[in-house]
Formats: sequence, C-alpha cells, structure tokens
Amino acid sequence: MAIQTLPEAMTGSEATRARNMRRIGLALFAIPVVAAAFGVFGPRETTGTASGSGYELTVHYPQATRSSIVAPFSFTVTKAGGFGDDPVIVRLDRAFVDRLDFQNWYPVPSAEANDGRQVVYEFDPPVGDSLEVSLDARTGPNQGYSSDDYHLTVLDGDRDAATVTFHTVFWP
Amino acid sequence: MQLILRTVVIFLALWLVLRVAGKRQVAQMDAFDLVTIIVLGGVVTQGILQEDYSLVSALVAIGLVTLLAVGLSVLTWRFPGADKIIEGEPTILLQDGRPDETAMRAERVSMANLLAAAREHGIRDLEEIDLAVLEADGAVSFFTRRTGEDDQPPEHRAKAL
Repeated sequence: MAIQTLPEAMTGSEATRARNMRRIGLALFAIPVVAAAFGVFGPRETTGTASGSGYELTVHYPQATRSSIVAPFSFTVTKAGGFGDDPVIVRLDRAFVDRLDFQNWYPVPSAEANDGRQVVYEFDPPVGDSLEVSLDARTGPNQGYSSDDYHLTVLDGDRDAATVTFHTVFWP
Repeated sequence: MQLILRTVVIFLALWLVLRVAGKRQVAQMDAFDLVTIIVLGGVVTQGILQEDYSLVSALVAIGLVTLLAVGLSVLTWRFPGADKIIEGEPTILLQDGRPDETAMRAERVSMANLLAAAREHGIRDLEEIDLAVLEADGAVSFFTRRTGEDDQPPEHRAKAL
C-alpha cells in the first residue's frame, strides 16, 4: 500500500487560522515582556514612614521582588533626645521574614523573640537620636506569588509607638 | 528593564557570532562546536539572568528572544535587502564541474567537505555537477547537469557541510 509523504495543500481559511494562532502565541509571549518593561515584576522599592509617642519610623522596603534577587530592606528609628539606656524594640510580621533568605541584620539584634505570627527584635540603644538597621537579604527561592500587607512596629515599652504598613508583591 | 536590555544585547551578540562564524559553523557541528555551544549556553544564561533564578525572568527572557527572532524574520521578509545582512548570502562553490577555490577558501570549505556533500547527494563525479551553492544556512544545494539543463531546482539538498 502506498503511503503519501506529502501534506495536503492548505486552504486559504486554514492558512489564516494558522497565522492567527501564531499571532496569539506571539501575543502571549509578549505579555511578560511588556509587563517587565513596565516594571511589574520589579525590583521596585520605596519608603514608608510613621510616627507616634515621640518615635519616628522610616522603612525602606521592596514593593515588588522576584525569587532569588536582592530584596533591600532597612529601617530607621528616630527618637528626639535619644534612647537613653533603653533598647530599641521593633516587631515585624513573620510572614515577611519567612519570604526572605537573609544572612543577618546590621547591627545584629541583641535579642530576638518569635510568637509564631510576629518576630520581635531588640537592638542595643545607639549613640545619638537614631538607629539605622539594614537587612542583607534576598527573596527566598521557590516562592509562589503573593501580594500582601506587612507591618513593622516600633515599641515603646509594651505599647505600639509607630507602625508602618507596607505592601510587597513577591513573584515566583 | 535591565533584564530586557541584557537579553537584547546577548541576542544581538549571538546573532553576530553566527554571522561572523560563517555558514559552515551555522549548520555543521563537530565535537569542538558542541563544546562551544555548551560553553556559550552557560555564558548566555549567566549574562541574561545573572543571579536571578525566578520563573518570571525566565519567561521574560524566553518571550523576548522569541519576539526578537520573529522580528528578524519579519525584517528579512519585508526588506529583501536586509536578508543579506541578517542571514547572509548564498555562495557558489562550484560551477561547470570546476571548484571555485577563492569562494571555498572564503567560506572555509575544503575539497574533502565538498566531496562529502556531493556523495551525500548521490553524486559520484564532480563533472556531473553544474552548480554547487553553499546556502546561507550552511546547507549545499547541487544542480546536476541533467537538472541544470532543465533549469529545475535541486531534488534535495545535501546535508549541511
């Protein structure tokens, strides 16, 4: 039995359909490229501030980040007149910390506590009115997509003095 | 945005590599070429993604390379003149049974390569060949005297040199 190797010639409508399918495919490829060109996937970073009870809290955080890339995170706590002998205590959402792959804080906290939902860091009082803390971090690998609000609070004793709520989008 | 710029630069560099390497390099792969391609692959990945192992970056790079490749093919279709720059031109290696040594030297095609390509085409003697053309993609088209007289296209193309 003879087996034909030649394909049948395309009709005009088949050719048009094939071309349209290819164009749809190209448009799908173009979507992430255009999104990246507009900075949707980051990295983007910004700063948020809050104040209360004599404290001013400034947080520099990633707005949008991707797995494995550097995620800049730092904060400054300022108190007019200085902190005296009191440690500087801040509280950060554990969900945010879990999404980062980090070496350490600079300066290193003198104490750390974790209640499951939030992590409390205690820093030795700085010389002067403000404490600047930065985190050497990357976005953790094997991340799924998330777009959530997180909170960093500076505590005055047991009370919340100032809270910055920030929003970060994590892309896989 | 940096990812996009890196991808465009690497794509253009790779295109330049293929154009500079010549037609033979495009189609033929010996052991050394295989090593070159493996090394190039690693370097290209590093150059484009650097330390970014995210899924979205890979999608962006794949999408952009695809769009650039399609863009080049659209350019060659719309502007026939651009075809020569983008893909190169065919070169006549042999005419009326006589090899063009200047062209063969320019394309780094040895007589042994040409004979092997002719054998793969089922040609026993160079005298049978009216015209041998090294195409832009590195393949060789043979017009034997019989098909040449009828001004017919070659029945099939020899495997790439």
